Amino acid sequence: MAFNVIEKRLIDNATQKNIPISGSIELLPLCNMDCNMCYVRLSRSEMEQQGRLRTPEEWINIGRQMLENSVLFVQITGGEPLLYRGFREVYLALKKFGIYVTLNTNGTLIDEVWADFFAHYKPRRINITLYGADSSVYRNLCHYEEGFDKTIRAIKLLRERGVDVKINGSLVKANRKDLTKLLAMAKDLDAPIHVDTYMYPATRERIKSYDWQCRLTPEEIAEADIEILKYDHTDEDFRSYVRAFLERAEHPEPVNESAGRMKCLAGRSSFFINWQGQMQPCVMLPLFGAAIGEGGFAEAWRKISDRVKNVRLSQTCAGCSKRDVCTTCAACALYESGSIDGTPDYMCRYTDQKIRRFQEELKNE
Amino acid sequence: MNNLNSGKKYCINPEYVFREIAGETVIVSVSENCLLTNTVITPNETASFIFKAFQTPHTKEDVVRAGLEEYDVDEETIVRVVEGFVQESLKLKVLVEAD
Repeated sequence: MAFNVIEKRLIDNATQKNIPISGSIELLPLCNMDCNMCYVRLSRSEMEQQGRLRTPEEWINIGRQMLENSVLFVQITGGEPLLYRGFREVYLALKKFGIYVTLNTNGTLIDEVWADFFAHYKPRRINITLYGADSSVYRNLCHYEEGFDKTIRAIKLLRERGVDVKINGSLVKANRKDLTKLLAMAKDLDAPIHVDTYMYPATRERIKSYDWQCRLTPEEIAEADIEILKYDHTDEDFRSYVRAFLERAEHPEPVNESAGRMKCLAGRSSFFINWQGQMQPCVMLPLFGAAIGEGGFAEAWRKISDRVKNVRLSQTCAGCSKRDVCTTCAACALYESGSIDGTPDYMCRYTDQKIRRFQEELKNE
Repeated sequence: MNNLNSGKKYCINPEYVFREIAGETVIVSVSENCLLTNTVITPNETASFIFKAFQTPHTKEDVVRAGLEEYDVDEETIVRVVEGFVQESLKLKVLVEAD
């Protein structure tokens, strides 16, 4: 707990001073799975048509510049980052620089050799996405039936070796029925779990169009959120959470000069670098991107943070009475409505349903 | 300063690096041998001052002297703080005896 407080303070200070304290690097867009809702995965030929991967030396050079620009936390992601040939080289170099490294992986490639490697060279944490509670979901959603057994094996191998693992979940129609089982499995595997219920309808560089039928409706994700909250909290804590949420929904903070601006950390203290070496405020916002070219990391950071400062989101959202409990953002507005300053109807329905259901929960007291 | 075991020099374990992030000092382990790996260590101002003083080999007496120049406190207090800091840091192997 104390560490979280310290980290929060560091991040808050960095955000105020516009220092890029944390970021993600996407080593490659390739993956050994092919999940229906993925917005990153490219086949090798699709990737080669669009560009080339950065070499380990290029990533290490970017890492060196990160160090000079006060980057403290880096998340290595993909695609599946363990498919990147120079993974070990890049990972160890970042650690040697004095950067805290977290890894995002589907876990399926982690065998005893990888587990021993991570036990010896410990990451800050490994985030493993668990897509379902059995092989059938992996077959239908991820098109990789063996993925389930391999992922579970990876989590066990890492936990046995004392490596911190967090399980991530991405809830869609195909695995909705597994939610309770996933939460229970995480407990059995001695790992915390975070389940994302909202799926951005994004495709990024993918040629395939987004499968709109894949994700849950706003009403369904509100229900799933309640299920997760009830699983995670005692009855009393759940009710306290609900009361605080409704209080913020009914009595929002007055509109101030920051209304309509981006409020997340993207481009203010955090960044994302894609597999082609382009820096963006977050994984979802390539349109504000800047190549890490001759001006290097510092120049790219200056460009994206300047662009973020000038962004204005929907005026309707900025003045909405539910603004303090709504989780919309620039990327959500862009993908849901087609423009950064659009109003994301999906998110309005989600927030409305959450408020309605929370009110019902309190009535049942 | 007689009770400071005069003469022995200490320095920061080279397996830790100092980083200045958003106006704060952060100490990060860069070796798998460190006792404190992946822990975000942000010493307060006094501890940062002492850590920085030991970035190159120094005796406790050197650091006490530097502390007396930097802070408006009595020698007894500084001796106590430096001594406590050194003992704790040696236990955690953040500080090591210099050759």
